[in-house]
Amino acid sequence: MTIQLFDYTSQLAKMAAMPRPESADPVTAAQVLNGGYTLKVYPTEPIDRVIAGVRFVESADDADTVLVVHRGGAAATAHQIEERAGLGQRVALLDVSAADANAWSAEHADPDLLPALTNTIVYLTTLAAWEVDLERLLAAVMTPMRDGQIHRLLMARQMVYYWAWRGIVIDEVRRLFGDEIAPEWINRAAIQTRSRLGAYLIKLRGRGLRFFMDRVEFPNRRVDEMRFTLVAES
Amino acid sequence: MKKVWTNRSINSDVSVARTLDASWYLDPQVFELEQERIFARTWQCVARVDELAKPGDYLASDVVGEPIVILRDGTNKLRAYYNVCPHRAGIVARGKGNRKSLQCLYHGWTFDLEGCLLRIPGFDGTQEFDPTQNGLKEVRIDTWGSYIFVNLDPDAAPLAQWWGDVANATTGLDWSEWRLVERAEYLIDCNWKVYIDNYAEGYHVPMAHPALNREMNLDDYYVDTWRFQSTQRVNVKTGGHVSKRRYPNPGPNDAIKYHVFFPNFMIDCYPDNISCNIVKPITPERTLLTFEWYFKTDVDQSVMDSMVKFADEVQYEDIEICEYVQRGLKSRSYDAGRYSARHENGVHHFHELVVEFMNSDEIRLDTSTTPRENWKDFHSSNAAAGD
Repeated sequence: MTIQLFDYTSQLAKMAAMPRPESADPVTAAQVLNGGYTLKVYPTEPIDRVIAGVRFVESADDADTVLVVHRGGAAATAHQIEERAGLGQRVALLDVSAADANAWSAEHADPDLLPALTNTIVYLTTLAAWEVDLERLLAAVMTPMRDGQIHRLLMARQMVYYWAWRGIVIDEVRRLFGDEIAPEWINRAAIQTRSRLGAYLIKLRGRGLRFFMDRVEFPNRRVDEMRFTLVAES
Repeated sequence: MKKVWTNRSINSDVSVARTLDASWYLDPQVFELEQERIFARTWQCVARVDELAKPGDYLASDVVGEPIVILRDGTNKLRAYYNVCPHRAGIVARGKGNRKSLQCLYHGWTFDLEGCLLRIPGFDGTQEFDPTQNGLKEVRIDTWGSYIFVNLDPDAAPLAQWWGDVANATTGLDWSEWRLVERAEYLIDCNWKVYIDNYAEGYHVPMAHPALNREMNLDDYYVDTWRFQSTQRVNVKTGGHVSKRRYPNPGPNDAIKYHVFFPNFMIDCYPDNISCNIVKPITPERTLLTFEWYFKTDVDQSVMDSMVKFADEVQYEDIEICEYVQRGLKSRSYDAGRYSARHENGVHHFHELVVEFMNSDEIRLDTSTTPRENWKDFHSSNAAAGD
């Protein structure tokens, strides 16, 4: 029996070996490195900007990162960050307190914000980013998000394979098709596997692993050689 | 090619009506509206009664994305609440278990099983605050058979008045005879209505279900409808190769029935087992199906295994067809279709209800147990016409 392992380290090696894009625009540079992943951001203040590679969502539950917008009131902002971190949300802090209303870039940060934050239990290194410019902030958040996505993909795959497939569904497929699937039933076996494993994936969706089954294959028509691919929910 | 929803009505005459058009199965706007217009004001199955067998048993669930907790209180009464703390919208229950009280995971507000606020840490100094007005908000709850249902509409009539009484009169089920033996869930790539459309007719059985088709004769298959229920019925056929038959020696009263209770609860009734199906929309093109199989208490394990395998075959035949249909609905060649007046009145009935709920604020109830059509008479009168 072959166990397909997701090659996590080679993905990181590829990223490290990538040439740095020649662009002064941090967002463009980050998008090149991001490899097409769409960052889902929940802003605490509506943002009416269209930024390629970023989708602003309406719920923190749907977001990769929560963007806390600071326009004043350092203690309140620090408390909000502390609460969200306590809920397990990944928080990026945009300090535009020195900018005009509705502007998304400032010349400097709020001097009260640092002592306010250190007065909480927030470990500053757990912030996804801290910036005074929206696009630079998103670029900073975006680049390492691909690591996180690879990690989430690995977790989802291992859970589906070892928990749902090996634990439950493989016996159901064998019950209908035996150990070796007749050629005329390959599609039906794939449907069965995909639909059953998909139902287990749904349970992971609410816990931050947001994937759907994409393809199921049976190399050599062997049930015990089943392999599958996941697609991230967009 | 994007198909944008255009609202319309369904002709009440199945022989001339056109089906729901493709946009109803594809447009995210329809999906969102259905959540509010259909699923938020109908009785939704959330659990089995035996999952909340004793006082303190609770289970967290959701209906149209609304977090719900259902439980059995200290007086053994079933209750349902929004799983949302009135303080600042934290959750008061996660998963399932048994507790004497519910406690918000955010700041520790504690509620008894009747939903009343018991303890509020750190609220001294908060003014104009009445604890009696800050309990958990209740959700309507009811039961039918072995199942628990909730309704987000606080003014909804009891389930009995929707379809419960009619179901009791027409299904003839005595739930005490049946025990749950297997459960499975399936995530399928089609709109929820595609699956129910498929379920609500036997017209496709000869083509899509060869093993099932051996057990029945489509000429004997008929569909009755009531206000919120349709029931398909066919006697189990006699004859045929015994070795290939699921029911080789049927009795004179052995029949197969499929019941649909609007919008998304179905029951398959075979001579030796029943299964309950719950259809849950996930996205416009993804649906979660839950199947639970029941057998009578004295049935042999080998019989149960054989039946579940038989049902699995039928289920995957249906899933394959439904996923093909979902792809076909996107074709620029297809807008809407027609109904077989003889065989698809159940689908027509379902579509009429979907359109009614989408368009009407007030829903009229009708607890009559007289079926609207008498398809046996229709069948008899049309048999000479080569139907």
